[in-house]
Amino acid sequence: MTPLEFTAALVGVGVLAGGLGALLGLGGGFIVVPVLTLVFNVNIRLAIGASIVTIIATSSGATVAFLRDHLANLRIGMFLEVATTTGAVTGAFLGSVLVPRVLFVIFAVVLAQSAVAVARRKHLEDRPPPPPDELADRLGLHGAYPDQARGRVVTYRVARTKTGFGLMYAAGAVSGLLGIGSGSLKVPAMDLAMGLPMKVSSATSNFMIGVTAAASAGVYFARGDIDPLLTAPVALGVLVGAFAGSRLLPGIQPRLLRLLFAVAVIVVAVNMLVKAFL
Amino acid sequence: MTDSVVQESSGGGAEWDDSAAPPPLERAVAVVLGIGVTLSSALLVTGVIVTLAARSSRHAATRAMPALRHGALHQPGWTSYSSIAAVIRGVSHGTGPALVMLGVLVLVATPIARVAVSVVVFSVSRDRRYILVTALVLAVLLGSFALG
Repeated sequence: MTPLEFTAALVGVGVLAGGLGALLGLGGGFIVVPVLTLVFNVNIRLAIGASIVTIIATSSGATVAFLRDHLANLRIGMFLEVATTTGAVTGAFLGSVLVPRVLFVIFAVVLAQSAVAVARRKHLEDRPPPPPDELADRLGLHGAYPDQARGRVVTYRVARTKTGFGLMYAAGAVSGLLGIGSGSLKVPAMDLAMGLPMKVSSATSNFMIGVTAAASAGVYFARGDIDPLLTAPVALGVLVGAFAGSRLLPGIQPRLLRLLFAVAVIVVAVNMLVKAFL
Repeated sequence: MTDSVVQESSGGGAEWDDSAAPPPLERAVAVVLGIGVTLSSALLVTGVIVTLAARSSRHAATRAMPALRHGALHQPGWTSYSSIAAVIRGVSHGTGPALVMLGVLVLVATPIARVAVSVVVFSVSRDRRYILVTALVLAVLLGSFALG
């Protein structure tokens, strides 16, 4: 494989990661790390460095489109970012003390369970009305978006904001601690606890993960884990893929989105198990 | 997410009025992210082209690529661009990888700039709760950089 072919392959990996990452609210790190390490034999630290940049590129690239489509709820995102960023700092601090393998196993199980729960979740209309939530009222979190797949505007009310906030803190801590699975925990927290429509959960998770990843990017950069010749083609591919993926989200059937999300999160869970036993 | 742009139609459903101007927050965030993504992709593309075009660095790349593929790069610290000063020095010499790293730095700075701009937008609209929320996020972000 010539350098040019290798570069082209990296762009391809980026397009795939950015596309799926944008569509599912996962950021695409779950594709970049395994593909770079297992297929291209890239050093794990360089692969993680590239995946951090991938996540930020997906987030920024896709959010521009999601704002145009009114899918990302910025107020929810900004409020929950307080929890994810402080959680990430806590996790990074704990991680420098020790990371027991059993944690990877526990979170792999938690992820797999929440993936199944997200996949089996009923349509917004078929659920009982959410309990009133004074905090969501005061913070003005409720919203609406035009759903192209159903050809009408979907209005939604946010519930259990405090629970969501707590779960986001845990999600931030896990991603800071294990360096994996940030979006895969954010989407279930918004979907299962706060009762957001799946598309809004995905778009809002996308919006948030850029900030979570940026908080840890400085560390990787200073360590020399971000390799320019590896990262540039991946990041450029990701930007193209994120644009394409963000075009798909408004029109996709929520049921299909849930299934795709569950499959991707199972992949993340398997990644975690592999990390635990390597 | 303002309700003012949702108009109930007679059919019971609702239609989205796209002619209404987007709220200032959404507009500001979209502008910041758009600028960041455009600037950084321009730098990334330029950096890759310069790297591939420069004869000497092509040889460097040729040496580095098989090493990457065969997992021989077990020392991630091999890149010399691990500080902002080093990146700026490289860019002033027109080095391809340094231009790429500047693009990466712009990309990383984009979400942080987005939070900073949100603080400003909420300050203008005097939304005290969200000034607090966004300022807190900005403080944690900047603090993580200072500590990291």
